[in-house]
Amino acid sequence: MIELAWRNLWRQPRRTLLTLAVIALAGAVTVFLLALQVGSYATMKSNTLRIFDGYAQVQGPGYLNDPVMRRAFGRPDRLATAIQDIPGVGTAAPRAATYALVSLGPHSVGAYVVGVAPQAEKRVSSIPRSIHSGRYLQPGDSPEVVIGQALARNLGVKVGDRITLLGTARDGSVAADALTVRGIFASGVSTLDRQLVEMPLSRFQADFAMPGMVNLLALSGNSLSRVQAALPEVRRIVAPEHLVVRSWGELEPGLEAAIRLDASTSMLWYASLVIVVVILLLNTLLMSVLERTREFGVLLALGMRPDAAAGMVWIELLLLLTLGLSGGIVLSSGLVAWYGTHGLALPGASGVFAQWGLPSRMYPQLSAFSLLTGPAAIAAATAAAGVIPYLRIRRLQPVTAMKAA
Amino acid sequence: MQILGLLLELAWRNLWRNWRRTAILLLAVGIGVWSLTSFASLMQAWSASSLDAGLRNMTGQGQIHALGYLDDPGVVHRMPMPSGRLLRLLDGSAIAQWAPRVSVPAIIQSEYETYPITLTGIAPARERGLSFIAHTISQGRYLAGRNDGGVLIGRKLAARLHTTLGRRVVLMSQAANGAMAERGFTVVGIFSSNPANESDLVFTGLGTAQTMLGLAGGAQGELTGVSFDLRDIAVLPQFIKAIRAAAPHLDIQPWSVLLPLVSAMTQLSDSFIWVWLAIMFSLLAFGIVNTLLMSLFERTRELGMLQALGLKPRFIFLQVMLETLLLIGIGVGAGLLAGAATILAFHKGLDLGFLAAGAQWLGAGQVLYPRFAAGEFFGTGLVIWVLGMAASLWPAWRTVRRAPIDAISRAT
Repeated sequence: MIELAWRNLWRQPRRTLLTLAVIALAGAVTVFLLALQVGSYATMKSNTLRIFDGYAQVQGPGYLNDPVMRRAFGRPDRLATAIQDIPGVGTAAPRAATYALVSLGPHSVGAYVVGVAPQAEKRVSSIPRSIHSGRYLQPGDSPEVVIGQALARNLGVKVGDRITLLGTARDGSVAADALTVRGIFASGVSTLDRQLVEMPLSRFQADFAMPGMVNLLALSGNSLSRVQAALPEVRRIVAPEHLVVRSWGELEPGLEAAIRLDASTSMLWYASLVIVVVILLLNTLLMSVLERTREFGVLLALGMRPDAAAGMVWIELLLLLTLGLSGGIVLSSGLVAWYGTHGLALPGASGVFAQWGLPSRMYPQLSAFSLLTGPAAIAAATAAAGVIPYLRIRRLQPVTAMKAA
Repeated sequence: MQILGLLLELAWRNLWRNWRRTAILLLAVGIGVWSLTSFASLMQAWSASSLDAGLRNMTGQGQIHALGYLDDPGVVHRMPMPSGRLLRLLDGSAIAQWAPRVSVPAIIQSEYETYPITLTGIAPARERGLSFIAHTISQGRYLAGRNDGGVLIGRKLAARLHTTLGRRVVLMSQAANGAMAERGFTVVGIFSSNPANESDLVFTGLGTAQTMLGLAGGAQGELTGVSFDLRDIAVLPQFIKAIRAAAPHLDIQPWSVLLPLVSAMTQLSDSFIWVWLAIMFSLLAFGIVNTLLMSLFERTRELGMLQALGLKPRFIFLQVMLETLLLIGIGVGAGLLAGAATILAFHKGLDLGFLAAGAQWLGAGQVLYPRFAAGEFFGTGLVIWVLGMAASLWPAWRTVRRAPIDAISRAT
């Protein structure tokens, strides 16, 4: 039966080739665009999260919506060790944070002051690597800070200057300290460069009267997906301490919403593409069936069951799909592999991506999802549409069919 | 001319000899054109919406600042109130609205919390229509005048500060003399806007801000900037040029410089439309060629006969081309009609619903207003039509060359 279908296909080689071209092109387009989307989502997510947030965070229950220093918890080291033992999670970096006033001489600026553990921080955030003058904090540093580039400019601060910090401690008293600027960083994210000050965690805890306490643990690992997979386990560990785990989507709701918006609008595009392809294929198939009405009549008269005759046409369709889609997949895998390493430059994209600290090139990413979703949708839709010629053949009467022109 | 009419009629009849095939191809072309036009208009609506949101978001179509302010916004880079030629241009007929502002980084404190924000002193009447503030007040009132001593804060900031209407907050910022200026304010209004605005922006009266920051000297005091809207945004480049000539020592920029993200998004969606046009067209081209080849193949004998009877090959070619002209033309027409209907159906606004949060974060509104842009609309249709004709050249030419040979050599 398959052989019969196969031979039928090549009775009209030109038509078959053109049809294959349609399928292959559509398959390739969906695979490539999907790979491009998946790739850019992945870079957007990991680049955004790697700058400062981390792939997930452990926080006190109300901290997400009301990030105030009061909502702190103790014994972070014990928790961090337990969490780091979970496979997939690399580091749990403790942080304490508050807003305070930073001044140099007459200049004062409001800043987001974060106490960090320098070694752990290096594995969670890219800020230690984006120091453009001076150096990052080291274990053993105490009255020392690194600050953002724009903040340094607004204050008129250079590396080596002493700045004063003025804020409210956890117990309501005044927190004040004099700190030496060790380094200035340029993360590329304007809010961070304008507001962020990092200082050693122990000094922060002393200044703000919260000994041994932190506001959050920032988690990282080899990949976002592995950290994501480890979250239930993290949740189990922190639940007895009355702490919660915040996933990347909760930390960056805007980014998640933007990705959801882009994904749903592109579904519209893909749907219209699949519809057009199905119609074009149906056209070819229906024509070839009508042409062969007489032939089918003969087959039926010779004793072929209508089911079998109709099934044969369906097999023809499946063969077409298999050939065309595998061609499309091969073609687009090549394209994706090429652009995956060289990047695809888009006009006007640099401004859009700079917002997330990304380069202006997009790197498509090949995965089972991007490779198979589009072709599977085309195959399913077309195979379903194949019901029309199938039913048509089943209805044929041998005598009238043979009489057909 | 007479033969053309004859060929046209022949072409028309040929189309409907196999009406099923024609109908299916029409459907394919129609859906292709429909998706192109309606999506293009949706993307334009998106661009327009993010542009509008961006402009209302304190930017305006253009801004005037002292040199250096955009790099380092603060009281250090201040400018005098517009006067002379600049003032005449601003008050001229080209401008719909302009507003003076004092906008500086500041720190806000409630009894409980401290946050860094941007404090902007505004002339309330002049801001109406120019920026989002006046129509997004959700609690309390808008500012009453330039010397209003109350502040407007965002809903999110109010929650973070644990403060509410009628309570007092303290604002601190660097004044013109370099010292820290500090002043207590009463919260008179709370606005609801996008999350960034709600947590970062605080407004008070222009005069109040000038007094606090030591900018009240001279007849009208000093500003950090002016924002303006033109009556017709199309003349913005020329107007920027004119105003730069009138005030050479000031930094005057159009929105495209002030909002690089919005302008990049517009470019990106424009280029995506063309990529999509290319993809759709390639698919349709294969479909058109395939269908045409099929229908010509069936008629090999008939075409050979016509030639034998003396119809010149170029007329056969012409007839085939007329057939495609009609076929694709009808398909394009149907697609355009469907596209227009879609745009019309949504011209009162397409609510993004559950996707609105993403839209807002990307700087667009919750409701999109697709509009009919005749140039692009018919342009898309025309491009498909012309390219479709081009795709049919090969089958038509092939038929003319091969028909007599095939017709003779084939039995059926």
